[in-house]
Amino acid sequence: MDDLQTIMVAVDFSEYSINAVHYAMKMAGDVHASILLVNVINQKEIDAAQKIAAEYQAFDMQKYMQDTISFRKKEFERIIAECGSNVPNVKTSIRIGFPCEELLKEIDEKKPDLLIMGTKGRTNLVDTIIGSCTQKMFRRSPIALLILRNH
Amino acid sequence: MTEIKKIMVAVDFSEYSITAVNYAILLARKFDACLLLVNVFDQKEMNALKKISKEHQNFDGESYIQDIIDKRKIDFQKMIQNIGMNESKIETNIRKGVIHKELLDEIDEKKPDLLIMGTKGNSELMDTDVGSCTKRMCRRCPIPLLILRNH
Repeated sequence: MDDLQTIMVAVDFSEYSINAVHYAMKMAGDVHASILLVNVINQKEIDAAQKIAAEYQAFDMQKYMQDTISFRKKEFERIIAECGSNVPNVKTSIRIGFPCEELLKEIDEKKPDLLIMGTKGRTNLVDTIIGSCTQKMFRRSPIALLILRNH
Repeated sequence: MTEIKKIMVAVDFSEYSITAVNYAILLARKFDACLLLVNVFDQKEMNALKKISKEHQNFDGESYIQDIIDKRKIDFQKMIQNIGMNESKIETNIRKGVIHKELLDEIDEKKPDLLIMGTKGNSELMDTDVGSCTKRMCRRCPIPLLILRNH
């Protein structure tokens, strides 16, 4: 917690998380930190796709995964360009698994100093105030956690 | 919303909140921001003291509360001296009332850009992960909220 070199942002491409990316980019620009944008392909989604693949021959699981990953990579590029920020070092990471677990693994591997996330993301109901993943990170994040509400 | 010029810290003088203060100092230096350290005298505690002073003639609840507030002012003074920042950039405030409501009022009045707090504080049970006040602030805080776990 002694410094602020790397700022990680949990991104699920919801408007909440895009807001968080903008905030993080501005912050990183101010303090000369690098940015690590992390997206997790939810295990639940993969389980559902695998079920379909088992039942329908025409569904190509491998292609589905490739498409999903390349779509998200493009989304990352789009968001980064949109920020038009002066942060020289922006890395992205796409992981597969349970979002909360994968975010914790990413923190363990890359050792960022701060995690920024929105109060809720894509999968949450409209009227929930805090998403379940944010709540879990709230309890378990070993590093400082900055939570942003949408305004 | 991303300009960090004033950083508010919720302080209850627990070790958790000391961690929060230290982190705030780090950020204040990085962003050249000023600090607003806020302590709230809990309504529950005041109610208890008032009840006792009604029942015991020789116990003066009001002066007892004033003594505690004076002691906290001294604690804040000591804290500021240890911070080693320009003292004109540090403001402290002690409020009385329901903690999360007072914190929200303080945000409303002083318009800080960021609130930092520990995951839990003084009054929480040993085995709770996240304090109730922090949880309430997580749901209601209109500004970015940075949460720190103790390590």
